[in-house]
Amino acid sequence: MHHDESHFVESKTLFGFWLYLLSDIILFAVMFATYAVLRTGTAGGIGPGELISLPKALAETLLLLVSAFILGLSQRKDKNQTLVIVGVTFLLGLVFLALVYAGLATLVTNGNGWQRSAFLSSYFFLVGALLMHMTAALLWMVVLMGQIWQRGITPSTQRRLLCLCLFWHFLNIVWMSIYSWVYLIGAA
Amino acid sequence: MKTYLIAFLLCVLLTFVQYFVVDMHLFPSLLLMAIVIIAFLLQATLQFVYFLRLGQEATTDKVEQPLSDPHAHWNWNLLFFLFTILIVLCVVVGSIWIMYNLDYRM
Repeated sequence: MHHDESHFVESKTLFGFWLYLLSDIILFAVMFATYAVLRTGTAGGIGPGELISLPKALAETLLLLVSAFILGLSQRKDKNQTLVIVGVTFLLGLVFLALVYAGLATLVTNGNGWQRSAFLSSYFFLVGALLMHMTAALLWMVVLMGQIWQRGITPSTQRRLLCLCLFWHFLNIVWMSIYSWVYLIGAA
Repeated sequence: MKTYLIAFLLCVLLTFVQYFVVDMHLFPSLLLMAIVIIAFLLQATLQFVYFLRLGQEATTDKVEQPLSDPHAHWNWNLLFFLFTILIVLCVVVGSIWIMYNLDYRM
C-alpha cells in the first residue's frame, strides 16, 4: 500500500513538473522570437556570425550533451553510484557554465555588451535566461547530493532526482536550439 | 538502455554534421540553413522521446484512476506537449510575420 501511494505521488509530481517545463518552453520561445525579430538590428556593430568561434560552440554543446547523457544513466537504486553520477554532471555543468560566462564576459570587455545594439540585447537576454536556469539547476544538484548523502535513496529523493533529470535534459535542448538557431544559422 | 545509448550517439553525430557543413561552407547559404534546421528538428525529436521519455511513461499511472473517467487512458503528457508546440508556432511565426510586415510598410 505504501509503495502504491508513493508511486501515485511520484506520477502526479512528474506531471506537474512536465507542465512547468512546457510553460518554460513558451518562455524561451518568446525569447527566440524576440531574437529572430531583432537579429538584423546590429546598429553597425557585430552580427550573429561574430558572437563565438564555431569550434568553441561545438565543444560547449558536446560537453553539455555528455553531461545530460551521464545524468540519465542513473538507475536511482544505488546510493554511491547516484552520488557519483550527479557529482560528475555537476562538474561538467560547472565547466560549461564557466565557458559560456567567459564568452559573454569577452563580448562585454570588447565593447559588445547588451547596450551596443538591439541584436546584442536580445542575445544576452536569451543566453542570460538559460544561464540563470542552469545556475538554479547546479544549486539543485548540490542540495540533492546532500539529501542523498544524508537520507540515502528514498521515494522523495528518487522523485527529486527524476525531476532534476527532466530539467537538465530540457536545458540541454534549449542550448541545442541556441547552437542551431543562433550560432550555426548566424554563421551560415 | 540500449536505445538511450543509440539516441545519444545519433545526437552527437547530428551535432558534428551541423558543425562541419557550416564550418566548411560545403553548400550555398540557404541549403546550409535547411540542413541545420532539419538536423535540429531530428535532434529535438530524439531528445524529447529518448531523453525526456515523451509518450512513454505517462500510461504507467494505473493507481486511483476513477473508473468514470473516459479519458483515463489518454496520454496527457503528449497532448499538452503538442498544445505547447502549437502555442510556440503561433508566437514565433506570428512575431516574425507581423514585425517583418511592419518593417516593410514603414
